Amino acid sequence: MVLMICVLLTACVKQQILERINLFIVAGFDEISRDQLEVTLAVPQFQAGKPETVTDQMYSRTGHTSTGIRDTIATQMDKPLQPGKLSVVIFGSAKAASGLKKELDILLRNAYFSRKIYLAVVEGKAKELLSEDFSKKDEKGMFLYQLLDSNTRKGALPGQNLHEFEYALVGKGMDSFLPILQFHNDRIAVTGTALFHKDKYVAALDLNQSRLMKLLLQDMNQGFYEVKLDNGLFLAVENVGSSVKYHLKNKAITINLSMKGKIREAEGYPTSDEHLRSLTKRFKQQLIQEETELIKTFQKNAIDPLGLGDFARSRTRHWNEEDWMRQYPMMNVDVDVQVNIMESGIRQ
Amino acid sequence: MTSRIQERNTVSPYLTFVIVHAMLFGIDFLLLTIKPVQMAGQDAWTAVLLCSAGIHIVIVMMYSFLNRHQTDLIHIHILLFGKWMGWMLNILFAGYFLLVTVYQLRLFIEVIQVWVFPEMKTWSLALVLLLIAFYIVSCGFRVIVGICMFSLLNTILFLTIFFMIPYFHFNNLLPAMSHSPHDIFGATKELTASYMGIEIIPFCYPFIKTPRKSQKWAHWGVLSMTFIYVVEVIFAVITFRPEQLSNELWPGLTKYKFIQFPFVERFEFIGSSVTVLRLFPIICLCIWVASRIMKFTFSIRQIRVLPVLLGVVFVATCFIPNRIGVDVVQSWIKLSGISVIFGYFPSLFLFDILRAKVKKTK
Repeated sequence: MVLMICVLLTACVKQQILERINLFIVAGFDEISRDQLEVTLAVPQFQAGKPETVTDQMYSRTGHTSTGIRDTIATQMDKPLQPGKLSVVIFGSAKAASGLKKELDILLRNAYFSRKIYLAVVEGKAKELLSEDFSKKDEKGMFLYQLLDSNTRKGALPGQNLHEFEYALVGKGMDSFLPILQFHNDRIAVTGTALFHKDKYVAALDLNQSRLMKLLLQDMNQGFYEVKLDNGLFLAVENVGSSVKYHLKNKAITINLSMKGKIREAEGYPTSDEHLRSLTKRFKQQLIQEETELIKTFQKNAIDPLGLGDFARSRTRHWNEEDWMRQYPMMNVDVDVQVNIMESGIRQ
Repeated sequence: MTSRIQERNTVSPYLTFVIVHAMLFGIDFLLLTIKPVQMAGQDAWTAVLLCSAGIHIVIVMMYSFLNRHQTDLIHIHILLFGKWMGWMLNILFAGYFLLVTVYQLRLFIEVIQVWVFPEMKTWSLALVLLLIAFYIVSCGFRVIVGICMFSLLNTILFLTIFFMIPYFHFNNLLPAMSHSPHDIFGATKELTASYMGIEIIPFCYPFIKTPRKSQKWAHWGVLSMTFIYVVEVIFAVITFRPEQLSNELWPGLTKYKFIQFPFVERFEFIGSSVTVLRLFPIICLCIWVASRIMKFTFSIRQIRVLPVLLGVVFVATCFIPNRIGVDVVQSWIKLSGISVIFGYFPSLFLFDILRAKVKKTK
């Protein structure tokens, strides 16, 4: 009898069947005024019998809280709206500059949202980006998800998902960053990195700087770097394995970066031993110079996306965030680079 | 009034391991890490070891008086403190175990309400779970221990930690030992609540064939859980910032939010539902002990008193309305659990030794 009751009770809660609900994979947040918010959802519409044709319907509303907005959006829909599949959240640059705390709380509080949601900042307004027709084949949300996944998590650009963003936001001695998306010439591209101080967007890096930043963030085995030679010639070096280590000595931080490279483009440049050595030297100088400049930029803005403060915390007893932030802008951060060019492709 | 348990109702000594494992691997496990990590930060794992050492000592004491009297705590109470005092202590213990049942049940229902079905009513789920519990408990001790076996399945879920490897920051464990002893002892006190459950052993004692041999297995049970707790605490420290943890309610379930399979988009639905395997051993054992105490106190049949106890649990569970209510009950349980394990058992042990000495000199 007990077993029978169990079987009977399984259907007692609300059922949700895919064809009878509206899902959304991407959501955009924009700021209208100080306490007004605009939320845009791209809701995929499936057509019966033709699984390959998915069109997006845009819904956009303004209001004070995003949950309230979702409610008013739901009044325009024929089916109930379900937030369970949300995978990408994009913020307009004005919204990002005025702080993301509130939106983060929504995403972290609701049991329906995954912690692997990708976040990104849009150059301009999120609503405009979402209403462009950038994805011919895929659904817009899936397209953005794959774009961010292949470029940031699996690619050479820095990016953070919801968990990592919160980790860097609440963690002491570190600041968060997000990729910047831009719509240009019918295409969407990742064009750089937005740097955050607390939850506010304060500075941007271009594509090249973003690549250099990722080198300092984690061990990598991909990415291309251009080397400018003295005679004005450009070569391309592929990173086949780099590792980065921080050292703390007498309140100064040294960053050791060692990279194994492979020449990918060397037209008009002989790859003899002697030439390789000078190329290595040139590349090393260039990396040191660019990385040092990058760190100077961070220090000037008093932000710490590399988490140097967190590193210092783990190596110092009784570390204090305030003292650290006071020293940080003037601190001596050395970059030490070792480059080893391994191969030059399959020709001389 | 000594009770001989028929041999066909007893279980093998090694099953003590399963009982201890099941009692300690409760739903509390999902929120185990928050408070210790807040207090002792990266050194919280030392608190786990400290606490475990204390529990081992308590187990040694427990077996010392159990082995001397060769019976369960119900009879020891009456033997040592006389009829009335012993009865009162037994009733107190029954109340304590019922409270643990109510707490575990409400906590599970809360997990389901928050993570899977927000529109689920407390009473409907409680009713179903208690009916199943009735069914299990009425079949006797051996069946309950069989249900405890299911708790071992939870160890498989432990492998989900491997999905989190990309998010590990081993730097978080440094600098080691930078917290004051005061902080570490605070964390140890918080952790005692996670080791609650060993107080069931003195009541199961006569149901174990050759009970003297079971002590070894009880120690192994605590050791295995210590290992699991240490891994869980270290995992929490290297995946989350302490500031992040203090915002979480169920870090043990949050980790499922990182797992995605092509065929299971949201693993936390499975993860939170599977906690039912942790729930049943605990509520069944606790209700069984409570009903057994009632049986000896009021000399009625266990099966008669069982529906009454379940009714009490049901009503009490429905009366805890929300998170705040659960928190209040949790703080009661913590307090009573700590005083039972680290206060009552050691003093009983001392009293028992003194009594034996006095008797000898006479």
